[in-house]
Amino acid sequence: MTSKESALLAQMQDLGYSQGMIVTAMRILSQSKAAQDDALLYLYDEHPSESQFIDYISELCSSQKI
Amino acid sequence: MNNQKCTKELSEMSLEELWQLFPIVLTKPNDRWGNDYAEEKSLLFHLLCNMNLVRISHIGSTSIQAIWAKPIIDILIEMSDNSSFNDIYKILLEHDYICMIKSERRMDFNKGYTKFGFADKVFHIHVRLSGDNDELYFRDYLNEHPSIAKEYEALKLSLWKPFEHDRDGYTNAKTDFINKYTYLAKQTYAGRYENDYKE
Repeated sequence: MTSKESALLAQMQDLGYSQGMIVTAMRILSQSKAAQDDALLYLYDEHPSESQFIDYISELCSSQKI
Repeated sequence: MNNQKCTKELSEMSLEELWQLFPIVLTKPNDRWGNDYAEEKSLLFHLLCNMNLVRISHIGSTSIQAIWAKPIIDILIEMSDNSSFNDIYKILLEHDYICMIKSERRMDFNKGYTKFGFADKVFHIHVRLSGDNDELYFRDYLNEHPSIAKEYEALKLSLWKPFEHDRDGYTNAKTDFINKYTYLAKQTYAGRYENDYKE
């Protein structure tokens, strides 16, 4: 796991997301380094709820960033 | 399709009636396919994000650049194991997907098949265990070898009319070509679709 992925994982765990969602999000985000950057900043800046983060990842999917 | 057949539900139709209602149709490459895939992927992520997905991928002819294809978006969902299969099955059925195949290792769903014919957007969803993903290698090989992609397009166009109402025959006639280039692709790209992140 890269340092960025470790940071993503830690941040999602700190925010209390469910394990299943974390695993899926990590795998989806692993397909794009740029998406990892954006997601990490979003987590740091916004502290989104799990539901908000699911919406965020879904939006990345629909915008073809991942 | 006559009106009498339109009154039947899909589940009541014979295979012959279904092939008449849903013929093989090829269309020229359409930029919309990528957008349709992205929107559906977004929906699928939303529905299944707690199910330990490994990867969601665009596969099939609409994922190959610049070739004629059936305007059906094929999506591969890889799972780490099959412990969530029953949950996924229930969720997808609740959201207008029709289950075509359900086994211990694979599930296939369709969306966009109606008793009046194809809907505006049609999707085939293939749920598999991680690593059961030959289609990814075939897709990449053709996208990175446009001349082979054009050979594939020519084969598909040659099969279109003879097999317009015989989907199994159409698929079977492509098997040798697909097997050959999947084999070459897996040699060329060995390990490409192993996962970066594991629990």
